[in-house]
Amino acid sequence: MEHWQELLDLVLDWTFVPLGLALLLAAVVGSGVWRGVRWRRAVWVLGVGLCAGTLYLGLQRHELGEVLFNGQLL
Amino acid sequence: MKVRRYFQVGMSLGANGYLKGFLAKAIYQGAGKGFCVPILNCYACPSAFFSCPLGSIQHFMVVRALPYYALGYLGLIGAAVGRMPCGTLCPFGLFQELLYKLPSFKIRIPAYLRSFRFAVLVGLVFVIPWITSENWFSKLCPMGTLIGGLPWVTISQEVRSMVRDLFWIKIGFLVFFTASSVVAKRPFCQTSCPLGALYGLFNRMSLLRLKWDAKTCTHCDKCAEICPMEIKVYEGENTGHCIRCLDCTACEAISVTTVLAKGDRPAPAALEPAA
Repeated sequence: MEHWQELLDLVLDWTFVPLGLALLLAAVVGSGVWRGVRWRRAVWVLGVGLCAGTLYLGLQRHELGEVLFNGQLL
Repeated sequence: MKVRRYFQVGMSLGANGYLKGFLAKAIYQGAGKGFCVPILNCYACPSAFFSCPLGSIQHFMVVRALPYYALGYLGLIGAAVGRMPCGTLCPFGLFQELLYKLPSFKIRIPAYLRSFRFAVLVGLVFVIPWITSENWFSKLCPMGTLIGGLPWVTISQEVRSMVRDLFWIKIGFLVFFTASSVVAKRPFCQTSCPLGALYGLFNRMSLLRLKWDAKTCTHCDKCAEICPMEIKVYEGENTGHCIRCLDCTACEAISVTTVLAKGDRPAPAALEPAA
């Protein structure tokens, strides 16, 4: 239960907005649920903007170097 | 040799060029490990210079944080070229394609198995690492076993002494995908790769796209024959299953375009092959 509370707290954090929208857009268009997108170029520009915003947030949070091997593979 | 082979070999060697790691029996921990490569490439490999994006995402799940950097980075690549890194850069894709060249009977992978990769993505990369605080996809990843687990067990007595049941389960997955690659095209990519599943979500709206010309297509199914993912292009040229290897563009009915190109209208509904 504590785990889900942590997840909820993260999702409710405003910084989740670009990541959440990017994932939603990718899931809706990418899964084929939304076929024949009429404003394809606008959707692409929106998607790039959301992903760029997400990347920018990650860099601001100094996530770049925090990806080292943690020795759990065996 | 196909042009993409040079990229595949170059990426395989370039991302794993720290040969000193084999001699020193220590992984590289310099600045390069802060960057993710856009492909499946184990960061525990003794010669790996960079991080695996899936390992990075799981790391953030384990520490209960959202992986903005890794997902934003993968999203931008996906928005640019869709699943193209799978077809042109991934070492494990190259491994499977080379195995498929071995003479044997060949089978087609049933289409219904393709959706399993989304379960792997959601379950093993996001949900289970979040709940268990352990990076379960990395623990089972056949690519990790091939370039990380096996070399370590070979060169290090200390690591050999740490081998437990899980290692043999990993070996089992690697053997399964290695053996099945001889008889089927890219079985891991088609059914189980979570990175491919993530990139594939961007195929329908990526900058780089394929364009299929209904007037020129004769439904000869040569595209499915040549395609490493067994796609019949007339059933959907920009589906999430396509790895953008561009091999099918040898056919004059299929060409490369961009989302910004004028006159590029949404694809028509899937057509049945001509009788």
